[in-house]
Amino acid sequence: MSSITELIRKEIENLSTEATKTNVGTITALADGVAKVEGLSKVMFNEMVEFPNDVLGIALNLEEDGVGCVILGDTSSLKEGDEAKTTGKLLSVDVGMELLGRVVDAVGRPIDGKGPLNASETYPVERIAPGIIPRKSVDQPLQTGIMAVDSMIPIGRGQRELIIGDRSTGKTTIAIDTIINQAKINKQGEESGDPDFRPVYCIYVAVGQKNSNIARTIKVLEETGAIDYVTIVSAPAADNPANQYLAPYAGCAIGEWFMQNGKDALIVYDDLSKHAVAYRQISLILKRPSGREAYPGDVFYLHSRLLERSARLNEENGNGSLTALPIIETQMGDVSGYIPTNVISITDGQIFLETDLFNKGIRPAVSVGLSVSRVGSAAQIKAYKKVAGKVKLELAQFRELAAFSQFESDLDASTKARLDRGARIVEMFKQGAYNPVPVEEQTAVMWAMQNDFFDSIPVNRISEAVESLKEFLATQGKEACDEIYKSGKLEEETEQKLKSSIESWKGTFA
Amino acid sequence: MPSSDKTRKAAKGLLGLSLDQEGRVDEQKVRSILDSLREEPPPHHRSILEHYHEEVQRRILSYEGELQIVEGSADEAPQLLEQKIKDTDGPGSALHTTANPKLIAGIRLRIGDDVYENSIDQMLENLRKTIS
Repeated sequence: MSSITELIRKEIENLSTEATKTNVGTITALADGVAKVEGLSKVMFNEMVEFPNDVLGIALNLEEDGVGCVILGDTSSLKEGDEAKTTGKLLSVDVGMELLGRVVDAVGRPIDGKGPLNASETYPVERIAPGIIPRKSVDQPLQTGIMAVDSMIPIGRGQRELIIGDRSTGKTTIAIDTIINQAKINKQGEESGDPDFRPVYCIYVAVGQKNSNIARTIKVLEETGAIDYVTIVSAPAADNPANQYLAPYAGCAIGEWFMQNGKDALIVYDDLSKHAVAYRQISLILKRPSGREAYPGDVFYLHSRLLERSARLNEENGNGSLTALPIIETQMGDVSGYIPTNVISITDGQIFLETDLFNKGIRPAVSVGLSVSRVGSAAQIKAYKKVAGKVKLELAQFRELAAFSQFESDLDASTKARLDRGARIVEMFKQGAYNPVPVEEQTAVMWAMQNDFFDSIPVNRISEAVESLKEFLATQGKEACDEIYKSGKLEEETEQKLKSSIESWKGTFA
Repeated sequence: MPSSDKTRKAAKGLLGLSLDQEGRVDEQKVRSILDSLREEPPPHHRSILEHYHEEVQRRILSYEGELQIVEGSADEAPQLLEQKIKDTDGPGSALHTTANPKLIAGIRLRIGDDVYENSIDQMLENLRKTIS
């Protein structure tokens, strides 16, 4: 009791008795979460504006005769004639390690019922992306734990890799798998006590999604123990468009703190199609001129300024990184849509997921022909590069020749061999959801494939064989895998150990 | 439906004609403008008048102040403040004084969009924000 009264007394003593100056305006129109305010002559672009009942807004349109503010929160308590005040602050969110394991809304307020964040730092939601000088080329791998991705479309720390595909093709699953894999690697690294180990912290930004989907994602992350390394920024479909528009920037600010403090972070924007739609909605209400598909003229800048904030910083600037996995939903597989082409041109590659492959049971349904990683191969570990070098070409050739597979009896031996190898690779890449595979196990399985150990196994049993081999390697073939994990290389000695382990396994696999 | 931009532009033009040399709204000029418009109504007369009203109101607010005080206050500050503004901005400057019991004590001065406040109400509001 006394400490509380003391706290208030101190606060009263500290109160300044000098007059304060504020800049005010009056709400002249209020509709669809946007207030038109007359006055506010000294408001800054993107400045937070205070309305009655502690409702906040952001000044997005500075016009000659008024200011267009998007309201962040409940507009039902506001009415025409209410006073709006400038705050002199740009919208900022809490950042730091305190946010790990927490779920926050688009303006960084905790919504998980676990109490206040107690963060000591804040970052502005809108920041200028790092320039050319503090940047460095991508040269460290970010393992997704998905064989098809890590082998053919490798991702490096600091890269922007788009995940694109129709609805229900496994886009979110790839992102969640990647997050789960980071958590697994982080735990393994922390247990090893390696001083050079660099954990990857994750931020998952849910934009315009159903609350049930977000709850499911949180549950998966909790069940797999990944939640301790993840911050979730939630702006569900029921949230107002202003919050959906802001959520990716808020998530990016949280990720930037890790990057600026010499740490590695991964951010997933799920998804930017809905983000663009929310921005279109705001822009139309603000009466901004609309262009193609009614999107405003600056919809490219909307995403480019967000994704450019992901970078790999050089040693002089702390050596931190922020890797981005934006997600885009296409309609009927059309990658030539307005928003998909915009984001494809901004990112450093894309993982394209096909509905047909997904329906055929090839999951993850990665399209080899349309997927690419422009910078990630430089970050692939040597051992993996050695075994995965040819696999993309082999799979692409298989897809090309697959149309002829119905004339099997007329095919020459070389084409038949390519088809056989391709079918086996397809089976090898099949992987269940939320089950990422460590890179050393991936390397061993790929090595076995490249060295024809799977050739005598029927195609329909390859998936089973791969699972069996992984189990064997986790127990009896651990030595070779450990060497690959530690050195990142596949030396001759390691190959011999791997060979003898796989030969022993093959004897057990009936 | 008249173009809002065109009527607003016309209203701005009328405002320009309504100002004296110091940039303040001249009542005589406003009256003669209103008479002329009544005699020869332009297209979209009503809309132009509405925008003209807004423009004039905004212009007046930009140089005329509103001082809110607590009724019955024996404080000399409002008088001193009014004199200070007249000394600074000339004898034509106006300061309307109104009573606002919500302040509890202190004053609130609004000139244009700027609000200068030193009142108990504001201090309590700041305290509430700090605690919550």
